Amino acid sequence: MARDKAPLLIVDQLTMRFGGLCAVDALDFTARGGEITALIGPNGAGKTTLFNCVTGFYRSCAGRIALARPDPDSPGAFRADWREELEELTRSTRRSARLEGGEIFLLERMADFEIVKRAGVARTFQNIRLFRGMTVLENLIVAQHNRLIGPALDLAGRLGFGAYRARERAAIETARFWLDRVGLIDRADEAAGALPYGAQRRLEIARAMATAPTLLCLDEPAAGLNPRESHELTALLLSLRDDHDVSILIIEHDMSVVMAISDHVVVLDHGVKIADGTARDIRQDEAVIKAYLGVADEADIAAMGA
Amino acid sequence: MEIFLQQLINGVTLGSIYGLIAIGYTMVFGIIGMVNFAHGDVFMLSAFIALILFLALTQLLGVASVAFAFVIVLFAGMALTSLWAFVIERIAYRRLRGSFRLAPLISAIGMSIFLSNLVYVLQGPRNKALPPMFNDVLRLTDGGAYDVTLSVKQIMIVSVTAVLLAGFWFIVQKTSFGRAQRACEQDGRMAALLGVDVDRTISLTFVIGAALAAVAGVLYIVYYGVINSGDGFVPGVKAFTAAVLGGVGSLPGAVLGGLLIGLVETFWAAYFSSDYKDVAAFSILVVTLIFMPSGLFGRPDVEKV
Repeated sequence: MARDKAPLLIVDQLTMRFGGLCAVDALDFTARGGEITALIGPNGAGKTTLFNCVTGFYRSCAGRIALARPDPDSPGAFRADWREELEELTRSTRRSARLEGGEIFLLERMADFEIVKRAGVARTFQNIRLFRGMTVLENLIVAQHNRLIGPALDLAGRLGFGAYRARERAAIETARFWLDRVGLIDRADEAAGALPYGAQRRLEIARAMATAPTLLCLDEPAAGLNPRESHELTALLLSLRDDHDVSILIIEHDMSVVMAISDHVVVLDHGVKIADGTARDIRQDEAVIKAYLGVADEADIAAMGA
Repeated sequence: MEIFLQQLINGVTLGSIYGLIAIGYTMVFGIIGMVNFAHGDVFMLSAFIALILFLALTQLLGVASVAFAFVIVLFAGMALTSLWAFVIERIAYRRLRGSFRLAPLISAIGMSIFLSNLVYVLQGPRNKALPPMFNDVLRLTDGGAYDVTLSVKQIMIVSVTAVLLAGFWFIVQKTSFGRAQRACEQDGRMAALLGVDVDRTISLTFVIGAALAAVAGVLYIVYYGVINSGDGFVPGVKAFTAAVLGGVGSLPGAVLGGLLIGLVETFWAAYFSSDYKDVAAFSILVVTLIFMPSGLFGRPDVEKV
């Protein structure tokens, strides 16, 4: 396993409380560029809360969420270790800093739409959130809103004239590319809400990809899929990582999917990280087995052994 | 028959004005789920802005062509009213967006009272009048019990409304802003997660709604010739009724609802009693809410399980 890849997402001491409930408690972990990082854990472990903090849906109570975005044109130029620059950025009041070959961001200082627009984080939801009344194609074009509207002073473009036409063609091209990738090209003009469940899941991933993200956050993408569909999903995710230069953070309960695709697994339980390592390490980790099977105390284990 | 034809013409004219105002209600409700009670007063304010601009252009600056003055007033009125709406949204609504549901509604009522009182203080309690303009009248029938007429004003009102609605429809359906606007309407938080600046989209929605209300205000002052600081309320509530009748959130619904309310009101006044025309219009509100809460074009909330 290549562990020398540059860190992409660094979560430091992240805490999120809802009243008396501590959903995420001083969580630390790092996701690396070009890898698929899986977040697993029992229900209520704080996985979705973490996603919500990363994507700006929630404002975290404490801690730091840092993300690096290498420039797409020169992916090799970005440095592997940006911790020093990150410390400097944290001390300042700025939200982002330019480095050679890329940019680093402090996500907890940014508004939700900026996290997508500038830092390149896209996500999907456990309960699918498509624009049901819009067509499949329109769903993907909304995702390219920022590229479509162009520069702030392009008033003609805002009204749909001039350079807007060229940008619109490019957006439709991108949309068709992703629809083709997820096998929905024939249904481009149907209402998104009318698609069958599995197709809606794929459309959500295609829509997230249309924002041209650096980090793709998937919340239980295999939930409710049949074995053939979840096999196709696995192939799609691996190809996103290998062919499209996207790093993936995935929450998933289907262990066959997790084991097949993850480069790195982080296990949460009650808002605390209980294990962190490769898929193989995790499978043998005692704390993980205990959290999943709910074995209560030593006496029980001894009894089982006797 | 003559009366019917005449009232049809009058009703469509009045309905166009209601429809223009109703779009502002329906768009704002669609995107943030709030009834913007100040919208009727924004309409009244725009009529005053139009009145002042008209007088300034024709009397102070000596613009001789009324048609030319009308075009300038129309665009300047849209710009100034939009600016007002932008500021109102910033001051009174944006900060309350994360608050409990009633907060922006109460703030809107406060803003409505503020606007009508501001105009009352600045312009006085009496009706302000505009000298009559575009007075030519076409006689459509001749010799019957009653001459059916179509005034140039009415042609102007209906055609300006039609042109603006076509432009507006283009913006909502074909431009990136329109797409973002529809996306925010369906799921604002998801739109934000795709990089759409929701706050800016909401601001623009208020601005566009106010621009259309400003057109209604300009047409209203040209049509009726008088305006009063209290005149925002009743047309505002009627336009709101039109939005409810058409299905809140539906743009074609708002226009159709406006036309229907305008027609019901004028026909009621002609055939029954002009004293009770408001009763007729508001009865529609009650009946719609009881028997057809999602309106003519409204989307019922169906959850697929």
